[in-house]
Amino acid sequence: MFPVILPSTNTINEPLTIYNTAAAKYGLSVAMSWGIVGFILLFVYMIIQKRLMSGKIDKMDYGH
Amino acid sequence: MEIFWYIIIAIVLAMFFILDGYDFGTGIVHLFFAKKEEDKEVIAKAAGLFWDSNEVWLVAAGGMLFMAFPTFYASVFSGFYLPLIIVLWLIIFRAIGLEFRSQFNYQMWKDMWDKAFGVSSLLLALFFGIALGNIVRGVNLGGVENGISAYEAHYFFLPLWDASFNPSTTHPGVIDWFTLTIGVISVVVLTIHGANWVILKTNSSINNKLKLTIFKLNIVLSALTVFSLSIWHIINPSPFKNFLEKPYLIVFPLIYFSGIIGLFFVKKNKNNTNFIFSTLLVLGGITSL
Repeated sequence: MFPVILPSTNTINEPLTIYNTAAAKYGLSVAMSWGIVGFILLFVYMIIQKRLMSGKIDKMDYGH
Repeated sequence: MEIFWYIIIAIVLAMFFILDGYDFGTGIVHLFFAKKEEDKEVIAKAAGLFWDSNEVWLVAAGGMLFMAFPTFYASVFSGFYLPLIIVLWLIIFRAIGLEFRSQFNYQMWKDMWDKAFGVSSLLLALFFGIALGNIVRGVNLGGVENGISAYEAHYFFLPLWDASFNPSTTHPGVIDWFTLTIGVISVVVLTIHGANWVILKTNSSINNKLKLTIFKLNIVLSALTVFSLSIWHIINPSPFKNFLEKPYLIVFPLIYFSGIIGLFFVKKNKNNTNFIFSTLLVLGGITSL
C-alpha cells in the first residue's frame, strides 16, 4: 500500500498518504528528538519487564 | 521525514500486535479450552501479568500518529467512530475481567469475569482484523455520491455495515464479507499466537492439547490465506503492484509464510521456536499490508 495509508474508493478524492496527511516538516523534525528518546525508553521498559517475568509464571502472585 | 515517522509508527504498531496479540489469543484460549479452575487461573495470569505493559505500545502509537500524521488521525478517528467506541469498551471489559476475577472467591463472580475476558479478547482480535481489512479496502473519502463530495476530501463516516454487505458498494460499511474474512484470519492468527504463549509461560494441563489445536488452526489459516489472496483483486485490481515494482518488499510475505511453514512442525519444535514462528506470522501479516 505504501505510501498510501487509507485508499479512497471513489475517483474524486485522493487517497490519504503519508505525504498529504503529515504534520509540518519543522514539527516532524522537532518531534524526532523526543521521539527517539521515547522509542528507546519503550524498548528498555519492555526488556526490563520481560526479564523480570522470564520463565514460567505459574508460581507468580497475581490478582490477590 | 515522513518516511522516518511512518517506519517508527509501523514498528510501534507491529510491536503492539505482537505483544498484545498474544494477550488477545490467551483470552480466546481461556474462553474455549480452559475447563479446570487451575488452568483458568494460570492462563488468566499469563495475560494479566503482561497486558497493561503491552498496551503501552498502543498508547505510544496513538500519540505518535497524532503528532506525525494529524490529518490521518482526525480522519480515521471520526470516520471509524462506531467501531472505535466498541473497541474501547472491549478493552475496558477485557482489563476489568482480568483484574476483578480474583477479587472474590465466588465461582459465579469468577465465571462472569472469565467470560468478559474471553469474549472481549475474541471480539478485539476480530475487530482489529476488520480494521486492517478496512485500511486495505479503503473508504468513501469525502462521502462522494453522484460525483459530489458531502464532506471535506479527507473526511468520511462509516456505518457498522451496509445492507448489501458488499465491499464494492458506493458506501461500504465497516463490516462486509471482505473485512470479515480478514477479521477471521486475525482471530485464527492470534489464537495460534496466544496458544503458543500459554504453552511457553505456563505448565497448564492443556498444553499438549493446545499443540494439536495450533496444528489444526494452522491448516485452517493456510486455507484462509489462499482464499483471501484469491479474492484480493476484487478490492484492488492490481494487488501485487508494489511487490512487482519493489521486489525487496517480498521479504514481508516471506516472513508470514515462514511462520505458517514453521508451525506445521509444532509438535517437534521447542516451545520458544513455536512462539518465534507465531511472532513471524503476526509480524509478516501486518507488514505485508
